[in-house]
Amino acid sequence: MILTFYRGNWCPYCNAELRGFQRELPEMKALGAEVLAISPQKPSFSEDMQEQHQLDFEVLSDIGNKIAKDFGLVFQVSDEILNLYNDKFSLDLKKYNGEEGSRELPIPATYIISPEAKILNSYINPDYSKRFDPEAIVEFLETL
Amino acid sequence: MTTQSLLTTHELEEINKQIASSLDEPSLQTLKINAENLVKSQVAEKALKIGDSVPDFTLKNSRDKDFNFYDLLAKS
Repeated sequence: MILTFYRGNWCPYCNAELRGFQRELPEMKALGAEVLAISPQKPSFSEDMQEQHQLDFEVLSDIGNKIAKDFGLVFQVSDEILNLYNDKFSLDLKKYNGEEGSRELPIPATYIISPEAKILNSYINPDYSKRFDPEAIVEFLETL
Repeated sequence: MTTQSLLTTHELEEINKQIASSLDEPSLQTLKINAENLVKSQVAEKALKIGDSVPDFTLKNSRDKDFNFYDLLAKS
């Protein structure tokens, strides 16, 4: 099972990542893996993401980043960044995440999890422009 | 590692270039400094890692239905 935490539909890196997962999905499924994506956004935005990239995997809504907190991935977004997002990208996190998730984001992270719920591999990087490339994930799955 | 195209990684690099060319210098500096601070804060240090067990959870999917993690794990 592959579990990936992404920031939101507004994040171009996340869009590229989820498109990559869709591209590699047949290969991943052939190797016995399912894909799950999680963001702090409301379900309607998960639906938009699935439709936009024709994603054949589940996209889940972690309102208030509750599960991301269990994984130890959540940080407070600084006022400086919130203002910059608003001014330069017309991005209002509250619109996507609701009040509970309006000032927090998950660090993008990808986990490969065994059927016994143990983490076999992980990629966690506070630099949100870097991701576990889905092609590299396929390569890892092939070693299992 | 075998030879790969790593298309997603390439796309991410292209996005970096686009953002760097479309945003003004002070904003780029703000993004850079905040990104560096986030790395320095060692926020990722407390994250679940290899060998840890993942706790079960239930979240809404895109059709607003409850979706249980362990259920899917049992099926896969």
